[in-house]
Amino acid sequence: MPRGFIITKWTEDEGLVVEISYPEGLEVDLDDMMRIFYAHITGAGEAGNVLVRLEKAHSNVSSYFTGMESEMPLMINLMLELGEDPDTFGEVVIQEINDTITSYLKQMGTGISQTFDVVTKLKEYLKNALFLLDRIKNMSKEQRLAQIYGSEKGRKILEILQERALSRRELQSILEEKLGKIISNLEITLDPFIKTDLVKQDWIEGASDISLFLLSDFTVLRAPAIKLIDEARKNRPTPDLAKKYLEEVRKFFSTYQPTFQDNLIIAKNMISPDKYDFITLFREKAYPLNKIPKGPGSGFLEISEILKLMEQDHIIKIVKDDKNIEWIFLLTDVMVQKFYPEYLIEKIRSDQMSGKLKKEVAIKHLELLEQAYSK
Amino acid sequence: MLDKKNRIRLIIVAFIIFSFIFQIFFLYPINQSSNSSNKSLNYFKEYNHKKNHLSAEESYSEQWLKNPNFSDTIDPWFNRSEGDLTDVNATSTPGIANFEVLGDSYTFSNVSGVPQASDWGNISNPAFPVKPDSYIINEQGCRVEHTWDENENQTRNTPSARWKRIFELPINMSDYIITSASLNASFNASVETSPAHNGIDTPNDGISQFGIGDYARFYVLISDVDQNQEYQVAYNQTRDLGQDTGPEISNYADTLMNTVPEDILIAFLTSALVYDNFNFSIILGIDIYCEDNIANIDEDRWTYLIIREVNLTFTCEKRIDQLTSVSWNQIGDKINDRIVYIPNASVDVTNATLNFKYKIDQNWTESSPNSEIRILINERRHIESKKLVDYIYSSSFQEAKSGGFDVTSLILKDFNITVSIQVFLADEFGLDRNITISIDDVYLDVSYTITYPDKGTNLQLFLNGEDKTLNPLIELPIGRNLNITVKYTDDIGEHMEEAEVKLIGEGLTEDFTENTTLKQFSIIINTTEKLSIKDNFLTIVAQQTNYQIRTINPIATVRRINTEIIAVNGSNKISIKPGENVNLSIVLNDLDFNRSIKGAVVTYTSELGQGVLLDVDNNGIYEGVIENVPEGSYSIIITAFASDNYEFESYEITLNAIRPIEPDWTWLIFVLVGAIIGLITIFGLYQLHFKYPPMVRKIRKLRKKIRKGKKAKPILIYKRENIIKNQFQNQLQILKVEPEQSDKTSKVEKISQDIKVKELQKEVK
Repeated sequence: MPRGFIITKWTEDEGLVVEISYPEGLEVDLDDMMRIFYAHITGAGEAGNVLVRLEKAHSNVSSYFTGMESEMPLMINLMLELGEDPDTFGEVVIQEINDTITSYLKQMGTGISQTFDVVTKLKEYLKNALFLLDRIKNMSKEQRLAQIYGSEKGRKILEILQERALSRRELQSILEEKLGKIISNLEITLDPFIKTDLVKQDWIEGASDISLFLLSDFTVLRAPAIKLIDEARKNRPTPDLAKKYLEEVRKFFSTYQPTFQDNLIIAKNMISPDKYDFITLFREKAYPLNKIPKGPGSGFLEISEILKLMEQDHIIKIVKDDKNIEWIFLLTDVMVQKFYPEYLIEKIRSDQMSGKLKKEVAIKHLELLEQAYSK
Repeated sequence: MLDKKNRIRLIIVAFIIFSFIFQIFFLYPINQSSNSSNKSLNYFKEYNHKKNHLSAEESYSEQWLKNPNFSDTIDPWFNRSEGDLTDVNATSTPGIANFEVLGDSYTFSNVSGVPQASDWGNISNPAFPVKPDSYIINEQGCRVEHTWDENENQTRNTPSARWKRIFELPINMSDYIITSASLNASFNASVETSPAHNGIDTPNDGISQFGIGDYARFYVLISDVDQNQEYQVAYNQTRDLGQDTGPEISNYADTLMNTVPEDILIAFLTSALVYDNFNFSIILGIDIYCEDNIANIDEDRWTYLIIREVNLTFTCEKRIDQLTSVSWNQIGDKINDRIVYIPNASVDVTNATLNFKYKIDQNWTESSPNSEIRILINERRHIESKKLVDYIYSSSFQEAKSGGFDVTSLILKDFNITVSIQVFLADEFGLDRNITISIDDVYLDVSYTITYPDKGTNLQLFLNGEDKTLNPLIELPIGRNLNITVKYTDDIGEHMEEAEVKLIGEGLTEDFTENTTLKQFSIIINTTEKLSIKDNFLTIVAQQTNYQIRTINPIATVRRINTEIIAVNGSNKISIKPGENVNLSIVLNDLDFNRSIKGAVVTYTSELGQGVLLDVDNNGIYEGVIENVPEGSYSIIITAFASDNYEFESYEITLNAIRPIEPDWTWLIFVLVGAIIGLITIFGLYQLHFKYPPMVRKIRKLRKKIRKGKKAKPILIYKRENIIKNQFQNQLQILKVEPEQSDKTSKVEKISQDIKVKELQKEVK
């Protein structure tokens, strides 16, 4: 579980200064902070993320640096447990949190009262952000798949393994080349792939490394919400609402074509614990706006704000009944569809025949694919 | 004095002379019967007690510390201070080591007499910013004049004048305690009393429009330089000044202001100096209040109001911080270094006594009753200490404790012995002078004993000629002798002549016989006489003076003699025709000693009856006859008993009395076998191929070809994009039953099917 945030700033006069640490009791070792700072500024000192392992503090630190050229060079450090990886939460979520913290810090002016107000609000945000990260750790399998899709690293791994089985070292090397950055802990990166049964690790006799075999594939897509459609056909919740809802659904799917950008929007919605809670809720039935059950995350973003964003993303539709009461319908059910990667069989054949794939690897992959098909 | 090498040589000689044998540990087998185990255990306890040896020991006494008198140079002593390092110091002169507790005092008396204009600056009173008509400092003091005429300016009825002076102290007051303080301040005043509308109005002036009347307030404030906090330490507020009659009071002669008690003054001064440990300020003030007592024409004339003199003194002493300490230390040798050249020797500290002398150049201050001299060995504190307050001044050194401090329990064998004598200041207190504590003649007398081990030995065990040292188990039949041989040697493998070697068991104590030629000790045990049919737990003890005792615990498992019952013709099957007699003829073989067993009782039982087989000729062949055997198949069980020393298993003979019948069913067997093979083939084919879905069959076929290195043809399979398209189209199926959508959905389906067909056609091409 994430332990907290330590935000430091760099000034010419004072050097590295702790701006805010949350929770209050979180211990800050300035030597450790300097270590992280050096990790950032080695090279061009540009904005970016690093993952630093602090043995003494028993922490991993996911650190974002705004860069030496920025108006106020800031370092936002998410303090994690040793062995914990920020990829667990998804790079989109971490980036969003970093952006929000940065925007708060930019509001801090010279006036004491203004700074105090911003710090108070920021601390409240940090508290909620920690709560959000904690919830993300307990995601469903469907969400984990969406998280893979939402992460550039995850998509690249999937693309690479859709070509052929590789050893871990081979995968790491190709991945680093494609992403242009060092992958420090491939095991943790692969963890969601293993846990969702997409990939199996196995050892081939005589090989010096473990091989990775893709055994299942998936895509994200929008689909009509089955239960709601069935209900609407029975004129529920009211004949008027049912008619309007079915019209909206038909209208949407008459033009809808899956695209990469839209799929990213779908994944982002599924990763967000608050939004996902609403998706699962609205899959079952439509609700009047004023009778939506309060979810566990409603304190983090106000319900209305969340619904507004979901409507913008065409996930829900607000439909008014004849009494002018607003009802929330799931316009599109966003989902992850797993499927059997039968295309791999022909790839294995052609790669093996052309000498790109070793005989032992091909046989092992076919064996595992057979087992996976039988499951 | 012997040097270290000679001492060690002496120790080794002593070791050879005085070494002893140490105690035996007897590992008693856990699965022995309880009675016998208890008996044996008791025996060994007694035996071990008699043979219990002590190893050789040498005792030594040494003074452990170097340069105990601090002569010439201080080495190897070194000092260490903790806490407030300005409070203590460590010094040394030849023959003495000192702990200095550094006190100091300071007296402030910079405020005295009539305030001088050059010292004091005028400041505003933020509460009453209006200044009086005149406010100056002259030879009289701080002087104010003021006339308030309500017709001229109603708002000038609360004027105030203040003068401030900042004092810089030469010491850091955070490290000092104010121990005493005194303050006095005086003032005088003159006012006009009448007529009523021009004079100062007081309670006894009989004015109807009256609240509290006119008054002047003289005061002295103490504060930090920035006036974050101000403390009023002296004041006087007039009440009857200006009284018109009975009597008329138009002036005050020099009058003292009221002042706060001394302890409050000390507290205020201390507090003011918290903001800035070197600077504080004093403010002198005169506030005037002119009440509007007569409508429209009131005028109050304050002729003069003067603060005449201010005197402030305070004394402070150096603050000695609690838990500050200073020590003299020496790192001595390690006890275990004394045995570093003696293998396996061990050392025990029997006594360690620390003596030292000390003196203080004066009696210790009563302000610190808990400060003391402490003794630490390897940073572990000795329970006894010397309270400094108990010291009665004398010009000569005195022993810290008669007979010294027993620090035996603090001595660690594996670490260098570090002795620290520490002056520990346990209270926070003020000290106005230096106090020096001196020590001399620091001796640590250590008594220790070195214990030397016995010389090493080895014991090798041979059971019936086989080396069983590592696995001392043997199984043998009753009646066979057990030859036990041991080789008892010293460290370099030399035979231990005239050693005492014993064999001990349940009800058994035997001495081994030494064979000096073969350099071994042997004994032959008759298993019939000395052992029982069971696991016999034995112990061999070998010992020689000054050498390690060796024991070994062999287990001799004595069992019954193995036998076999066999038919004389070697076959246990007999075939006869119904109605015939059958002769039973068997022999009993002793398998351990390879001979036939005579004199045994041999019986047979079967459903045909039972009987005895007799060895009539005493040739070891036991015979008997079963007559007129009816048709059938019979089992005849032969059993034997010779004595408790033999282990017999029964022997079974199968007797068949049947008529020969010759029908041939071989053809049927062939048919059935053929049918079964056919079924198995079909079943096998199903299991291997047809029970799997087409996808699995494709995979298997491809795998088989790859394994055999054969070329495989392209496989008709959907591409990834098509699979995803299909997934998407399937999801849209839900909308197809919508009447409005039916056409569109069917189009979608058609498109989907077209895609599949085209894809497959493309793949085939």
